[in-house]
Amino acid sequence: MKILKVLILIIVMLPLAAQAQTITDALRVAEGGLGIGARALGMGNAYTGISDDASAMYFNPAGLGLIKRLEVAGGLDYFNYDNNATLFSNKTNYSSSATNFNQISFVFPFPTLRGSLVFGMSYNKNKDLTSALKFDGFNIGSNSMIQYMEVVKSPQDNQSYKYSVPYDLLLSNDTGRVSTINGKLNQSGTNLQEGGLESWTFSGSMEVSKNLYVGGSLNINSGIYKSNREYYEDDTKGIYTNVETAPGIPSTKNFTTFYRNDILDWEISGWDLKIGTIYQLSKIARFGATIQFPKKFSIKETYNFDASSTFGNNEVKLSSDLIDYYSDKVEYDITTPFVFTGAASVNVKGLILSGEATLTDYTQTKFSNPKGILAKYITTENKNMKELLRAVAAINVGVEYTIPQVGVRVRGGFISQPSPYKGDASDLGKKYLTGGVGFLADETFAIDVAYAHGWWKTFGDNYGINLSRVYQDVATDKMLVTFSYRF
Amino acid sequence: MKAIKLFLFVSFIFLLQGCYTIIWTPDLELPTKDTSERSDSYYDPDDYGNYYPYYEIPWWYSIPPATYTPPVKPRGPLVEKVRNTGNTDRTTEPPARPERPPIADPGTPTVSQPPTTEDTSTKRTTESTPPKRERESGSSNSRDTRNNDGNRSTDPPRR
Repeated sequence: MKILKVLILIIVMLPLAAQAQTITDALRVAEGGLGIGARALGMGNAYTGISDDASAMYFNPAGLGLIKRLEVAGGLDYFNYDNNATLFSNKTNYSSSATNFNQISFVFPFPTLRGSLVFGMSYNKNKDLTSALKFDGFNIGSNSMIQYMEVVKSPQDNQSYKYSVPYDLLLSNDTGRVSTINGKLNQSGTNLQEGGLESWTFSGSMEVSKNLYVGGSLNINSGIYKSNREYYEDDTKGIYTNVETAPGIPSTKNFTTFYRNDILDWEISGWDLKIGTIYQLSKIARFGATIQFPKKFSIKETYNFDASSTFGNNEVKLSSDLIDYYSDKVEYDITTPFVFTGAASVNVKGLILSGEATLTDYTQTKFSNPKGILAKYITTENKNMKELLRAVAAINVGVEYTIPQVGVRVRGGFISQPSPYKGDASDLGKKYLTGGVGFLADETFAIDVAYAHGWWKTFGDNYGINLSRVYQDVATDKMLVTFSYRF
Repeated sequence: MKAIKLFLFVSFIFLLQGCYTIIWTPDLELPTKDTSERSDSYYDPDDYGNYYPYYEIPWWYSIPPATYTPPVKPRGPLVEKVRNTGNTDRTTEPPARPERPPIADPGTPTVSQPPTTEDTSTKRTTESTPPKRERESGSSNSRDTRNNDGNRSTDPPRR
């Protein structure tokens, strides 16, 4: 009886394990975004050593202590993700865009006889998860998604299970293990992702010694993420026209198309702490440092799967029971690593030069508290993250010049975020060139505009390892406008 | 939990150093440039123009100092009596009445006389009642007159 219970449990859990979490899922929330504030972005987000406006709550909460007037700030951003994908030498372009509130912030400096005490509250859109991918290419190899899905294997062992998607769609024999399909199919599809990470931030900063400020931010995080992937395999060369893909069933001749659709929905919540310090050396320079404590994200994931196959004009669909069987709802936590930042800015005659380095050890990223996922699988993925990821140092540099006669500031910057994967070349890291202008009206109302162009290479496998690899040249454009009013 | 402990520890270390910042309390006047100690500025007015006040001048410098004027209680008759008795000041007699102007013959009908001057405050009439000086009790002139009597002002001191 006990053995039967275990067997039933394994059967129930197998499809869940098959769609369990990956390193990509963890990095989605672990890697930093482009943050908030147009002045900061215009300077390449090299802002930890400046941080004297409301965006200090995001970059370096100690910088709040430098603010001497009440500030209300708000911002809007436009983000576009453009992807040039190559699959088997065939190039396809696809893009997606989103417009969002970037921040709404309020800063209140307490009147002081000496020193500084400042509190702030902010809603921030920390990271945009918008992305797009489209691919289309003929795979001359003897492999395919259909073959890869023939047998559902648990990650713990090679135990096979009769029922599989190809079996359900009449694309394999009775055992579900051996398909009559043997590659040479055209593979195409799209993957649209949307959503973002947001936070409500409560910050405070105090001058603890002359020109030395210490501050902290408590972030209540939330977010949504949705991924919609559509994948096709087409017999464009008529290779299987006279082949019964399910031997013994004549209607399975004239196979034309296999289709699958994966929809992933995340509800994200969590919290984290960031502390920082900043020291101002007269009018000459500022030095800043922050510690971002590990963020804990709780993920409620809904996974919906659907698939079909087409034989001539006949389409075979999954029954609703099977759709439910291959879909699931799970929960788990993702804990991101500590992040350490050191920064400095130098001020010379209206010219500010700023730079910072951020150390993140991605091997400390981990999954925990699985509900609906095999704990052993989570352990394996955590081990993979230790073995496949690495510690990286991101670099941000920026410059700003103020033209005092007209109250205009111009700025530029550069961001380098190396890939967190071990052994990745430099071109797989993200790079951004940024620029911006700022204008001050009536000593109280500031408008800042920033533009950031990013580019990097990446790749992804439709299945297996390097069997159907999509190489991607990504370019992003972000426009950010921030309005600030100081009373 | 580990993060909270570390945060509290770091906060505690800073608290041990003593508090440099002195917060204004409502029983004090709002700090001004002269009465507060400010840390170094980062934005020089020569190099940053209007950005200097944007960044460097605290908002409470622009709040005018609060003033408190105690309400003036109308003096009651009892206080007035106390105030005016028991001192050794010379008693002031009521001012002498001005000499009556000549009156026209009562047997003749009343005739309006044209004013002899443009000064309306000394306008004479031929009515039987004694002439009165018109007095604008609220005018500043009368107030000046009221206050320029050589005595110490009893108005509350202006702040």
